[in-house]
Formats: sequence, structure tokens, C-alpha cells
Amino acid sequence: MERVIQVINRMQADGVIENYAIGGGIATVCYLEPYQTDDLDIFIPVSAVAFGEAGLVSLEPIYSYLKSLGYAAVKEGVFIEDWLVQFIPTFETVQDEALIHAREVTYGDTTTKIFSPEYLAAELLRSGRLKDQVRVVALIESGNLDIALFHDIIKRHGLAEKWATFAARFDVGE
Amino acid sequence: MESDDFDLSKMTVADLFRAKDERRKRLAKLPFEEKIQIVKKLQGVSRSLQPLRAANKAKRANEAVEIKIKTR
Repeated sequence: MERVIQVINRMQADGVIENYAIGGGIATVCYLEPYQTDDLDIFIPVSAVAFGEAGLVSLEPIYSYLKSLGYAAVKEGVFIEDWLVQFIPTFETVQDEALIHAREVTYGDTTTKIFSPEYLAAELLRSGRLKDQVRVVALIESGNLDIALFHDIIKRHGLAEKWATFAARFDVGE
Repeated sequence: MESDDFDLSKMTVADLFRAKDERRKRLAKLPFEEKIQIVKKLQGVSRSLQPLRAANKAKRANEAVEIKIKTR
């Protein structure tokens, strides 16, 4: 994993991406108990992607950079060392802000950035898959979450209604 | 949990859930690097089970495996 982080840090240093932060399953593992997750989700600013004539998003600048380092793209992402890495452009405002407020975490001798638990929970709530919802509950129950900040985030990013439905369904305090 | 404490006959469902919860909290406190090592091991287990799962799925598709669902 450290080697993967070094590659992504190098990608940032070389100007391929302006910024990045780890989200998804691996970020969740940072705050909760470890569980199986297959890929490493790297959130990147939209500025790092190319837009085709039809307005379609292309990760070509990232993929070609990584190809030059010997890492080939597969259908869902890029295999870097022994990790499947998925690059996710931040098309949602909550993701954008999560990137700005990401926490610095040291892995071995390497520094990386990971979504804070509050932004991670907000993004998982927005994403809304069943497994994401389970993680939101776990993050809240873990006590690692600043609930007031979390509520502020979901309110500012139009997730209040989603939260109300979620809170009623999972019986977590509003 | 100490081995002296572990007596299945005296355990209740609440004890099991409590133990599970304690384990979860203990694992959550591990350093990030150690957690990632566990994730890696879990990925390996999943990969090694993949052929078996695929074979079972194929059997189910051919209706060679009967799945019994107990409702009572």
C-alpha cells in the first residue's frame, strides 16, 4: 500500500492531479475495524480529467501517465502494485469539500490524505448503497464522528432529506 | 478473552454480541498499517474461495444444487 501512495503522491508532484484524497472502503477502515474491500478509491478534482467532444469524461491523462510508469489500466481502474486503484472525479460538492478538508495520515514513512470521518459519512450517505449506509451507522456508533460537523455538512450539501429518511430507517438520532 | 472465561455452555446470545462488539472496537484501534495488512489477508481468502464460489454458482445455475430455506 505504501508504494501505491508513493506513486499517487508522485502523480501529484508531477502535476497530473492537483490534489487527491482516499475515500471509500479504505478510508472507512482507517476509522473502523478492518473488513474486506477490494479497491482503493482515490478522489481527484475534476480538473484532472479530460472531457471529450460529447462531454464524456475521460481519465486518459491519468491512465497514460500511469501507463508510462508501467501500470496498466483494467476495466475498473488501474492496477498499481497489488492494488486496484479507482480514480473518482469529484462531481459532487460534498466530495469537493471532502478533498479540501481531508486529513493527513502517515502510512509507514509516507504521508497521504484521507477523507475525515464526517465527510466520509456524508459521502457514504449521499452514495446511498446498502453497504454505504451500514458504514454510516458504524461510523456514528464508533464515536469517531463530530456529529455537529456532520450535520452541518449534510445540511449544506442538500443531504438533510436523505438523512431524515436514513435516520428513521436505521433508528439513529437526528 | 481468557480461556478460563470461555465456557460455551454459560454463554448467552448477549455475551456473543458483546464479545463481537469488543473485538470490533479492539480491531478499530489498531494502527492503520496493521488494518491494511488484515484487509490484504481478507482479499487473499476471498480470492482463494473464488473458484469454489464460481463452481457452486454454476451448479446452482444448472439447478444441481438445491437450496432449502427453512421458514419455521
